[in-house]
Amino acid sequence: MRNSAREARLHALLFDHGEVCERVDELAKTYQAFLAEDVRGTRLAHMIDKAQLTQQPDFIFDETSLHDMILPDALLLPFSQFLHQKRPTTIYSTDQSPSLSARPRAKFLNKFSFRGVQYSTASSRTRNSHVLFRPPKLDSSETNPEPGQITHAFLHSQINIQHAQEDEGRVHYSSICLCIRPYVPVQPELNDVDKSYRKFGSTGGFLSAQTLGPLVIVDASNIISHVAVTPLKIRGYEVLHILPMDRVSCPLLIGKEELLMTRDCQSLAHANANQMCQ
Amino acid sequence: MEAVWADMKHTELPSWVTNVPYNWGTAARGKLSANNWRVICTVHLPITLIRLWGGDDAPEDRKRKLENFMDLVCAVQIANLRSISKNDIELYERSISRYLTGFKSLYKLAKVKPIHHAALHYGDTLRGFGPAHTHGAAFYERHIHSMQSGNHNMRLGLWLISYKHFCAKHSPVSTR
Repeated sequence: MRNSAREARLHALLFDHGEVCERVDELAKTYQAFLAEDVRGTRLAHMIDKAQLTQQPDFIFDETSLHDMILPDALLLPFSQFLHQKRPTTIYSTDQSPSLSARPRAKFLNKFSFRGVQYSTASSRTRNSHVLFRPPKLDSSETNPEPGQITHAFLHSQINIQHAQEDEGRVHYSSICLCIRPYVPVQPELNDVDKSYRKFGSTGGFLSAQTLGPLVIVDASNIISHVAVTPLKIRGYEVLHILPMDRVSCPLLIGKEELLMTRDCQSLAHANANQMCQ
Repeated sequence: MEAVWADMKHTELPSWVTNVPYNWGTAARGKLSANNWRVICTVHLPITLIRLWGGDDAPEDRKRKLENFMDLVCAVQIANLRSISKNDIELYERSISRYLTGFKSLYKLAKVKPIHHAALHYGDTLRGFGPAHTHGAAFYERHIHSMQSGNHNMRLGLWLISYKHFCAKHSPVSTR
């Protein structure tokens, strides 16, 4: 209790006393960083520290680590397609049409937390960059989840041109965009091996080629889970085994339920057949 | 075992999954933690075993053993989820029941142990108390660790004060 009281007094002295604050500015910053650390096995500091972390529903990132950059050329085309899917957009628009204009600058970040799980870009922390995601819908049909690697993550403001002058100086980040390079499907020659993995649902995973496909941009909400990736060599082909990994919930296990019911029926039929033979 | 070791060396796991020592199962490595075994059984073994035993040309008994093992993997994965629904619990019960039925028929010499019996009742525990992390041993061990890490001058009877110290130190209430 004495220690707690001492800490509370020190805290008040360092952060509320004007003169002390000025003299030991560096010490106060270091002390605050120390207080913001998570204690082993808990995420209390992560939840409490509102000063450093910007929280949106399900989405947390460190605002101090954002860096302003011009969108690379490689991202412009996929980004305009991404905005077009939301609503018709003119990139670099100067006319007075009531459309959205995509700004070529964006705030990039290396890591963020989504639904309590930390994701990173490939250049920042590779092991947290492999994800399973829902690709953007090109038509009304449902799309199957695909594995991929996050290459960039950025915040972008979409400004309505007509209101741009009224709202000058105010930037609203309406979406968090992720640039993902999906893994190409496995070679047809290995379809039978892939099938033997897929028959166990998400617990068995599946195969894909080791090459990455063209870049797509999706909302952060399109992420389903992390994946574990294992490079394998099967029949001379270099492939990647993808295993979905979600510690919160596993929607893909629902497919397993149907699978188990089918296998139950098969076992029953097998047992009946054996009885008849006897 | 060598095939599993070779594959797992190349596996890239998310940062929240504990890496397992590559020489597990050897006398040199010794015992593994429960979490290590969980990662081996739910991540590394399925990757290699399905490749070796899951193909059309694999012997029938291997295929049946693999299917039996994958029922266990499914049950363990559900039992460790942070968020759980009634459907998940039903799926757990079906998986563990299938696993134990298969276990008895495949491994005639193996004995059914109390842990197997307890696993059959774990669905009721999940239904009554929610996901595993809310009532698992890790939750209490974390508090024991925090109390042990404090300075108590070998006077363990004063644990309450140590505990209050921990709570006050990490209390979200700001002093400002």
